[in-house]
Order: sequence, then structure tokens, then C-alpha cells
Amino acid sequence: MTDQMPTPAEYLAQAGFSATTLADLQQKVEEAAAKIRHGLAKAGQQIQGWYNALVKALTEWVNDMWTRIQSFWDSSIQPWIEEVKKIWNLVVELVRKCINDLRNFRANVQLLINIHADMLSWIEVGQVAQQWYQDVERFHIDNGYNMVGLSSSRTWVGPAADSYVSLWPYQVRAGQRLLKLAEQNSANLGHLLTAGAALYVAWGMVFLQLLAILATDIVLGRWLPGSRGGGGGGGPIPDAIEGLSSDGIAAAKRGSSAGAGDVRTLMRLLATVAVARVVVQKVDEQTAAAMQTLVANRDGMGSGDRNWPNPLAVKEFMHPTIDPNGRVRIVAGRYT
Amino acid sequence: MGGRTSGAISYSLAEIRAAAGMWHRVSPQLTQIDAMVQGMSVRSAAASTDLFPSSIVKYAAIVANFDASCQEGAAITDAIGDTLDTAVLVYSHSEQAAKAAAGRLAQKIRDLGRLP
Repeated sequence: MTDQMPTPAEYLAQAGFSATTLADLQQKVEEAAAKIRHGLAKAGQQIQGWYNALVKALTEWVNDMWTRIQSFWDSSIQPWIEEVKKIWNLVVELVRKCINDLRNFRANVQLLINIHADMLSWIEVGQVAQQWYQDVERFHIDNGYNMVGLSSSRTWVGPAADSYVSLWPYQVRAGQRLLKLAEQNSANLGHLLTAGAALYVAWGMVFLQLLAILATDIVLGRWLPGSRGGGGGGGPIPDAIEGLSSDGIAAAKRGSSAGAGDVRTLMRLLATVAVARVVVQKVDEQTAAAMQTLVANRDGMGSGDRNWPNPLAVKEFMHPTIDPNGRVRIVAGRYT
Repeated sequence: MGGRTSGAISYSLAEIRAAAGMWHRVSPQLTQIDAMVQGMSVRSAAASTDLFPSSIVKYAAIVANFDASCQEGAAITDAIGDTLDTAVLVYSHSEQAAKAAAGRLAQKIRDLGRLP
């Protein structure tokens, strides 16, 4: 006997479903399937919409963040990096200059000594210049050359005398200019001397500190073997320490006695040197600017003058001339 | 003052001579100042150091300018004195001496053009 599986239609017929009922059932199943497909399609569309919205939101957020990061980079990080680079370059330059200061120690100290000598000389030059212009001025005032023409009590009047009276004051102004230059030079050299001396005093303090550390080393390392004093460091090193070789203990004893306090002091002094070096540079720049003003100072001089007012180059100033008859005459002003 | 008058001009030889003497007296003092400045030593020491690079360059320019001022000042003030001396000779009618003085003065004024 052979058992055969009934077809769905046979099975349904055996179960008592009529063909009509079966067709209804098939239609309902198809309708349900269609609804499910429709629902799935709608759900898919919904999910696609959510996905698109999410992608869009994420893209906008990433773009926004990127813009913010870019902006933060441009406005904060980049300038900060530039500043750090500048500071680093300044530090490198500063260290280079400090090394140069030590390398050129003798020449620099000689320069400071010469600056001091020149400063004193300019004071002396200023005194002589002051004496000079005061002598010239006093002579002319005492002898009536401060008054023009007939208003003067002196005997010498006329065009030549007037031209002379008009132009001698410029000689006094030239003397005053010498005094001013001397005073300014003395002051400027004083600024340079102060800054330079401060720099080498700072270096001197560093060397004194190094000498103090060296002396401590010598005293504590040789005269008091086994001790390790110093300003704020460790205590004495015993001759034997468990777990350390004798070579290691000997090496520790040979090490510097400088404690943390000594090192801190040294670092502070080095920082002072750095500050003094910056001051030297600033004073140099400012003094150079002040000196530029001095170089350009042409007080009391005309465009035809070079370094001193020259009345002899002024055609109205009194001067001898030989007339057609071969006689020497003194002419001035409009009689020229 | 014992002066003389010639037209609109009056003069006293003593007055003009005193002024000339004053210029001849003060002129060497400018040379003396110049010598003091030339004896200064910062410029020579500055060549081997870079402690104050900008200032030293400007300082050298100032000192050179000061030197030139003193040299020109000494020459010009001396020539002013010579001009007054010549005027004294002219006013005192010393023709030959005045001509010689005028020639020397003209040469001095030409030399001023060649000063530093």
C-alpha cells in the first residue's frame, strides 16, 4: 500500500472546504499578502526617509563641526602656533645672543669701559661747547651787535654791519647744537652703559652661584668624605648601601653637592640674564632711534650749509670785492 | 667811540678789529673740541662686538657728523674773522694789504667748499 501526500486542494476538500470557500480563502490570503507588501513598502519608505534624514543631519553636523574646527583652528590654534613659533625663534635668538655675550666677553666689557670713557668725554666736550657759544654771544651782546642799524649804540653801522648783525646769531646756534649733541650723546651712552652693565652683573651673579656650588662640592666632597650636603638636597651618603654596588656609591659621592635650592637659584639667575639681554636689545633699538633724530638735526642751518652755518656762502653777507677802478670795497645786502 | 662816517656808513676800526679778534680767538676752540671727539674710543672698540649693533652704527654717524661740524665751524669762524680783518684794511685805506687779504679770503672761501 502506498501512502501519497494529498495536494492542498485535496486536503481542503477532505477537510470539508468547498471550492467556493477555497477561492474566498485564496483571495483573502492574497489580499492579506498585498496589505503586508504595501505595509512593508510603506515601512521601507519610512525607514528610507528616516535614513535620509539621519544622513542629512549627520552630514550637516559633520560639516558644521568641520567648519567650527576650521574656524577654531584659523582663529585660535593657528595664531597660537604662530605665536609659539615666534616665541621659540625669540628664545633661540636670545640663547644665541647670550652665548655670543659670553664668547665676546672681553670685547663687550672693553666696549662698556670705552662707552663710559666716551660718556665722560662728551660731558667735557659739552662744557667746552657751552663756553664757546657763551663767549661768542656775550661779546656780541656786550658790544651792541644784538641791535640792528641805527638802533644800536655801536659806531659801526651800514649794510655790512647789518648783514653781520643778522648772521652772527647762527654761529651761536651752531655752538648750541654742539652742546645739545654732546648732551644727547652722553645721555644715550649712559643708557647703553646701564643696560650693558646690568647684563654683565647678571652674568656675574650666575658665575658667583656656580662658584658657590663648586666650593660646596670641594668642601663637602673632599674634606668631609661620605657627606652630601648642599642647599636642599639629600643627606649624607653612607659608605655602604644594601643593594648598591660600591662603584655606584663612589659615583654618587663624586656627584655635585648642589641641592634643589642651588639649582633653583641658578635657574632664577639665568632667567635674570635672559631678561637683561632683552633689555639690552630694547635699549639698543630705542637709543638707535634717538640717535637717528640727532643725526638728522640741522637746527639753524640753511639748505646750502653742510655741517655748519656758513654766512660766507650768503651773497648778502659782507664781503670784499674789487671795483672797476681796481679798488677793494666791502659790499653787502642790496649793494652787492 | 671815535668812529668815522662815510655816507650812510659809519664805522669804528677798533670795533671791527675787536670782533675779528674774537673770531680768531674762538675758532681754535672748535678744533680743540674736534680733537677731543676724535680721541674717543667707542668707534674703535665697536668693530669687534655686537652688543649694541644698531646704536653703535648711529653713534659712528653722529661722531662723524660732529667731527665735520667742528672742522667746518673752525674754518668758517676763522674766515669770518678774516672778512672783518679785510674790512678793517679796506676802511683804513690800506689798498695793497686789503687786496692781498681779499685774495687770501677768496682762497679760504674756495677751500671751504672742499671741507668734509
